[in-house]
Amino acid sequence: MKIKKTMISWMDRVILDCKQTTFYTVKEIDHGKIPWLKKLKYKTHLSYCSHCKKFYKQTKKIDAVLKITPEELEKNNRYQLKLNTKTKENIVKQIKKNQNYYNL
Amino acid sequence: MLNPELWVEKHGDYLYAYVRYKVPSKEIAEDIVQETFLSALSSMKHFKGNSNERTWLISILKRRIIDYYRKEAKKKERNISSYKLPFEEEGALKGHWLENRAPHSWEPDAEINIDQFHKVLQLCLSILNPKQRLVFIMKILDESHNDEICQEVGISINNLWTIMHRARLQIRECIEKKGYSNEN
Ligand SMILES: [Zn+2]
Repeated sequence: MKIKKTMISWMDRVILDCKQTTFYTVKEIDHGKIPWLKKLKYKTHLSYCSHCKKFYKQTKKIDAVLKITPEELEKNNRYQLKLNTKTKENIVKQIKKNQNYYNL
Repeated sequence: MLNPELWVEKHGDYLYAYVRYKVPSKEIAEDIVQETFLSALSSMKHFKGNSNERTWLISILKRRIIDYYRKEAKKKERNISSYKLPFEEEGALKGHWLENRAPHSWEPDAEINIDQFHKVLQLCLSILNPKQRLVFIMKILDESHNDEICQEVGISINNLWTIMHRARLQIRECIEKKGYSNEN
């Protein structure tokens, strides 16, 4: 028992647990600074923990969907996102009205 | 030279496509596009000839998106159930995933249906607390420095990373719970 406890505390010093690993995963995806030793430790954890690996990949995917660009959307014909004509006409009208106001 | 009369024709669809998947509805996206053009009109004198028209409009658009979430954050908070992190809190496995809440379903490598995925994603954003959501969106838009975000919400840099960690854990789990899978 004593040996097991010592093992775990030793392991925790060498590697990170899943909570810490997901913390650094998020930090990496959101462009935070990670000290190199922490980075090494968290990459090591990722290399053998399938849950954390999946968290990393899914979080990356979610991030990519949120950050998808109009160019990328256009490449995919299934997702044509266009303003409808009526809304466009309405905005043009608003612009013209306000243009006079700003005396352009 | 800027020519506001041509803005809608030249950039309308682009701005709309940019904002559509970052806010909950089509209507909100349309409103934000309109606000962007009007706000651009009123700040034309700040336009520097060295950036292009579209880049300039996009930066205004991003500000409008942040504004939208800022207003949402000021609204009275609905009852938001607190979120418990999905990790063991004590014992030998402290800090490890709780087995029933670890990432399981949906394959991140498979192709996704963006439209469907987005619907689930918006639902999941709505369960974040409004302040947390504002921080999250500001990070996603990548328009503000971390210290600007901290100042805006009144938090420290350590808080910012704690909030992002929680937010990303919560969103991922929510997407799984709402039953998103590659099959539908
Ligand atoms: Zn792990």
